[in-house]
Amino acid sequence: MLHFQAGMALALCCYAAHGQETPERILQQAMALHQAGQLERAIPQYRAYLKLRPDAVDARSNLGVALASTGRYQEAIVAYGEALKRRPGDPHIRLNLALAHYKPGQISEAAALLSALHSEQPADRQIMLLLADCWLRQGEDRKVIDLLTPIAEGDRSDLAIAYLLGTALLRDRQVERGQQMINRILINGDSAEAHLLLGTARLNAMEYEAAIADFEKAAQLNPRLPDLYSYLGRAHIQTGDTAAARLEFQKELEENPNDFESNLNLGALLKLDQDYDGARRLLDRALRVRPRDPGARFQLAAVDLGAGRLDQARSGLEAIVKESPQFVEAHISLAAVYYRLQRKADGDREKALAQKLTMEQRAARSQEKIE
Amino acid sequence: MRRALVPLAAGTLAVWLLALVPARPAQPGKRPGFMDVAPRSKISYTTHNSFAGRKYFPQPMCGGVATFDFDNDGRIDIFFTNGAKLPELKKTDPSFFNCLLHQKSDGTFEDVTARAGLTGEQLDFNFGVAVGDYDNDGFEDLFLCSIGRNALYHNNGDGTFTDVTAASGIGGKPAGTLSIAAAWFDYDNDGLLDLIVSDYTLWNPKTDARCMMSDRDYYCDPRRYPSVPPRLYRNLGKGRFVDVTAKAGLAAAPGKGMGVSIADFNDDGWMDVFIANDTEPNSLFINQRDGTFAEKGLELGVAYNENAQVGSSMGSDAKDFNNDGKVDIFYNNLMGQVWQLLRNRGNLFDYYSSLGQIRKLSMAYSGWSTGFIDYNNDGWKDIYSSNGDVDMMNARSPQHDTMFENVDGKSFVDVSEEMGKDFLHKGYQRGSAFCDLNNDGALDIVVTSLNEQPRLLMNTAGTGNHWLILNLVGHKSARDAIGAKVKLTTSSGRVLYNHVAVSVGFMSSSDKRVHFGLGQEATIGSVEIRWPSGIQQTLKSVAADQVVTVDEPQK
Repeated sequence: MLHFQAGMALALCCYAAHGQETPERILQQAMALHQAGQLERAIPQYRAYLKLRPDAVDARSNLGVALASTGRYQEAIVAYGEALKRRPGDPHIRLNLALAHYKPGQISEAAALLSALHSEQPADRQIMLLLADCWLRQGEDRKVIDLLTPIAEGDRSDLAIAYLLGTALLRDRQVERGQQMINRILINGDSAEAHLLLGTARLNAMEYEAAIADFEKAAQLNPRLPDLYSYLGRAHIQTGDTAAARLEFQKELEENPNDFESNLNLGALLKLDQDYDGARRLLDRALRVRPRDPGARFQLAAVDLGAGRLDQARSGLEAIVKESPQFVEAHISLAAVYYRLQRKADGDREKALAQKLTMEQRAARSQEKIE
Repeated sequence: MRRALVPLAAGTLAVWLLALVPARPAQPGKRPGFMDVAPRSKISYTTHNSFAGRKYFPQPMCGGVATFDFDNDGRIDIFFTNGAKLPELKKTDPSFFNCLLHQKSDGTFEDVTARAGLTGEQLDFNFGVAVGDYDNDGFEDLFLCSIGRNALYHNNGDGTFTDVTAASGIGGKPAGTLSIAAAWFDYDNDGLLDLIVSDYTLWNPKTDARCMMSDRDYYCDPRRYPSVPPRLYRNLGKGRFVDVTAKAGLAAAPGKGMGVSIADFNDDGWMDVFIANDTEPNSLFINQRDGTFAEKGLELGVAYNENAQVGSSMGSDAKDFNNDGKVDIFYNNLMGQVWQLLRNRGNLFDYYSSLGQIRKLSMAYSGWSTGFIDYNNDGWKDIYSSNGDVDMMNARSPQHDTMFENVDGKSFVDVSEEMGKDFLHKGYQRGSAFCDLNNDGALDIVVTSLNEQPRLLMNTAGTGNHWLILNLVGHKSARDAIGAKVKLTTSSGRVLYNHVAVSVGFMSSSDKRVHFGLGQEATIGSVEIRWPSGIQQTLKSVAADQVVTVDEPQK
């Protein structure tokens, strides 16, 4: 989002007319280049201007936009941060900063910024949809449902809302309500979004072949639909076809290098192939999207365990069980690590803990069934 | 036909040639298949689990098989276990009787169950069968697993068997223990076969949980039932056994035992035990060489799957699939779960199902009995599985067996579709045992299916590949030589490994003779045997394509 202030633009025109290398002339050149789409040339001009006028907030913001547009998100984040130091709370800059986090997959940071913006501007639909998408990527399905349900009732024609809400509902196993969202999309004709949602519902119902058929239909209609190949990959994993799954995850990552599920699942597959470096690279990327995700951290620890990096595995797993003491698989893996480190007493303790938790969870599940 | 073969090995060994089959012309690339020869014989046995609408928990586990030569006539005979009327838990009529089939000289089978005294009419619902010559008298005996009393049958050597359970002291177990499978092995290397019984849970018809969905019964989740430890019985000699479960350290390791596999996993000369536990961590009991075992499944990487989760571990086998000298583990699972091939790396097992392509091949099937079998004699052990879902719920429930062919010890391909229509029979396959029914060097498979007649799947052979079968006879070691490790080096230097293993798959016992496929190589450089006693023996100039009996030397 490029912000030009009318007054400043007028002043720039005047300086430009004189053809002098004043700070304002430099800024004028930067903006002209920016508007002409010559971003790589605009960026040094903005930087040159900001050396002379370090407090020019709009120029800093423009620099951020130019940097983000060329994919230099980290530099953009720095530029927006500098701008916000000088104009704290500016909603446009904060939204741009959120986008600069969102695009390279720093979803946690983006979600935090968008959540604050949404609190201040609850009616802003763009912020709301971006926030819903962030939460969906973070696996916060209930939050998405709470966020979008009120407006979904008021606006039945917005397919983006139907899609985001439908996905969250299906993931949350609210199949009937999810189906209503699918119907809204289907009313508008055969669409990729509808097939993606149908496939998701079938994936949840463990109808893997049918899910794959729906996802493939979606791919025919819109091969660039976000998350599509990630879901295809997950469906293929369930059939055991890891080669196909790997290809689908790779396709998703070509479009969306920071897709959490694709990085996580492909990382786990590479772990099974004992490509531990490749697995670690992908899991690190997944953790940039969801830094606290225990599943991704567990897989990373499993990579370390497989690669024989026992101390790394131990510290990773110890942190997981500290934060998620009910995570049985983490206790089991930690026990295995302790045994390999010749710490038998610790291994025995973790093993016993895992057995106890397993029994408790089984008892709770059978209690649920009785109730 | 017998003729002497001059051994070059040290010691006073004797090697006899039992059968010499000329090598067939090579037909590279052609896969053998399997043909059911059961219809050639009059077989009345049908696996009968007493299903009549009401589903009882043990019903899916019916139809154990043993392939062994009970009368030492050089031809493989077959024994089947059978179910019982439920909920009465009695073999109320002959349809529930166990069955012994004697192979006649023309290759057909006759039912000699009654004559042998093996109907089991005094028993109840039988599961697994373990074959072993526990008294070293040269005749194979039988141990039968049951819901109620387990049974030890002594082979009298005259075509009859005697139930010696009470006198042997081997029948004791907590009331209601479902004993599923058993394996004979000499855990203390004293020359007498001991017995481990893979127990599953505590159950009786009165405690049977009934699970229903839309007024239809389905088999309940095993996790409703408690776990129990396996039981170990030490052979004291003179037909007496003592329960050493607690003393040996097994009582502290409960599970839901299914397949039980015996092998020397750490190559220390002492037999270890792997037990596939249904919905519980698998057990790997490492022999401590002092009469006790340490359960190291988790430590060595075989207790859980790659995500530290339990599966429905079913049948199992332990063999060296990549001929690296270390015994690997395979166990199958139910549909949607990965069948696990665990590669032995010396001090640890790693998950090999993804690298070996087993993951992709296996997930559509519910496997029961299974095992490594070099069905095409190329020197690489392939993986067979008898399949069929637990329950009869939908069109995917009845399944055909699978054969995953081993490609150079690195990966596997599914060749089931090429195994012939008899192999591809769809049903609820359960027990299976490997043997060479016609002594042609190509391994055959006997398979049971719930409430159907068994299939005797004769290998059509015809690959032109060469082979060797060794019948090891222990003297200082137990006569069956279970666990004896054999290293075969071909003339070209190719090294192959195998060992004597009887407990293979699920509820079943395979022929104890050690089989080697040799590929296109017709000559063998050496055969090195490490007997359970520790005695080492080397044979030179052993011709291929024959069944050879090898006696354990004095030292």
